[in-house]
Amino acid sequence: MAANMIDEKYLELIHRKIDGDITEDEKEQLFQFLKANPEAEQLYNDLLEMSKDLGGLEDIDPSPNLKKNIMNAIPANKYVPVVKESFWASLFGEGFFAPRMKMSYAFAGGALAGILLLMLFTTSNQQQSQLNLDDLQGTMVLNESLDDLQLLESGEINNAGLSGNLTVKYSDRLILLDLSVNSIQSTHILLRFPQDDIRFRGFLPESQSSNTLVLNDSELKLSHNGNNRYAVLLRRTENPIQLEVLLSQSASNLYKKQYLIPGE
Amino acid sequence: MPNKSDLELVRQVLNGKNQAFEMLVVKYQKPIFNAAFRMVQNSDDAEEIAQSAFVKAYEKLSSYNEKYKFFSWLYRIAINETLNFISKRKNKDSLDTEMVSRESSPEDLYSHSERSQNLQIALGELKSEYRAVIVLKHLQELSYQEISEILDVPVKTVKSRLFTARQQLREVLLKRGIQFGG
Repeated sequence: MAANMIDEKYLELIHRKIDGDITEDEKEQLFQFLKANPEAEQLYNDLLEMSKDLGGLEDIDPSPNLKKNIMNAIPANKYVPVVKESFWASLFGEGFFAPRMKMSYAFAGGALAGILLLMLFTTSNQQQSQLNLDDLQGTMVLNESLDDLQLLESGEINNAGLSGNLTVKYSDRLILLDLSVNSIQSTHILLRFPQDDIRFRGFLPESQSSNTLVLNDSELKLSHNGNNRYAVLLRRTENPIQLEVLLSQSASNLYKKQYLIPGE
Repeated sequence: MPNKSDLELVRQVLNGKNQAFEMLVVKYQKPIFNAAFRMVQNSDDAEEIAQSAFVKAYEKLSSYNEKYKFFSWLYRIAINETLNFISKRKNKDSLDTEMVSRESSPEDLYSHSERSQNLQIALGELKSEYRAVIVLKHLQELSYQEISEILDVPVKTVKSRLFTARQQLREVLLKRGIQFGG
C-alpha cells in the first residue's frame, strides 16, 4: 500500500504520532489500524526511523571567523546612544528638578526618556491604529491635562512626494506638536527650538517605527518612512518661544514652518 | 553581561551597545549556520547566508516586534535568506549538477556516517520549502507554532508541508536503496 492509498485520516495520525501531537484515543485508533494494515505499519515505522535519523544528525561548527565577519559587517554606528548612562542618575537626582539646572542634563534626561518611550511604543503597541494622546500623558508625570492646551495653528503639508498635517497646541507650561507625514521617500524631520526655554517631555509614534530619535540641546531629529503620525511633547518656560519645523528629503527642504508661541 | 535575555540584549543594542549584539551572534550563530547548511549543503554558502542574516537582523532590529520570540524572528530572516539563495542558485545550475558536485565536495566530511550522508543528500532532492520544514522540525526541533511564525504560514500549512516533505524524503531514500531501521 503506497502512502497515497492510506486513508487521509490515518495518514495524518501517523504523522501526528511521530510529532507527539496525538491524544490517547487517537493513538489507540491508529495502532488498531496499523495492526490490520501492514503496509501502513511499514510506512509508520519507516517515517519513525527516518525522523530519529534526522534528529540524530549532528550539528557542525561554523568557522571561528563567522562571528568576527558578522561583527565587521554590521554598520557600527547605526544605534548610537544619545545620552550617557550617567545622565540617568541625573533624572532622579535633586539636580534634575532644581530650577537652575544645566539644560544639557535636562535634554539628556529627556532624550533618554524619549528613546525609552520610542522603544516602548514601537514595540509593545505595534498594533495600535490610533494615536492616543492619553498614552503619551499616561507615561509622563504631568500636572497639566493635554485637554487644556490651546490650538495655535493647524495646517496641511502639501508638496510633491510629501503630504500631511501639522497641529501645534500650547499652554503656559507645555507645547504639543501633532505631526502626520505621508511620504514615498525617506524624510528627515527636524524640530528646532531655543535651548534655554524648552525641555523634551515625550514622543509617541502612532504605529511601528524603525526610526531612532536623536535629540540635542536645540534640535530633535527623526528619520521617517512611509506614513506615520507623531506626537512630541515639550515643557516650556513662560517666555514667548520660537519653534521651527523642517521636513527634507535628500538634503532638499520640502517644508519649513516657524511658529511663535506666546508666553504669559 | 551573563544570562541576559534576548529581549534585554536587543534593547541594549538599540541603545548603542553593539557588544550585546555580539552576544546574540554567539548564541545563535551555530543553529542559524546549521539550518542554512542543511538546506544549501555547502558550508561556505551557509556561512555567507548566516552572515547576511545577522547583518539584516541588526539593520532591522528596531522593527523587531517583542511580541514574538527573538530567535523566531532571526530564523525567519535566515530562512528567507536561504530560500532566496537557493532560488538564485537554481537559476545558475541545475539540481543534478549540484548533486554531482556536492557528492564529491569536502562537505561530505561533515557526515559522520553513510546513513546521515544519505539523509543529507536526500534532503537536497526535496523542494526548498519542504527542506525548510524538515530542517526546522527535525533538526532544529521547533514546534509547529514556531515554524508557522518563522515561515509566516498558518500552522495547518506547516503540518501539511511537513507531512508531504517526510513522505517525499522517504520515497527518495527508498529509491536510493536505503533501508530503514538498520
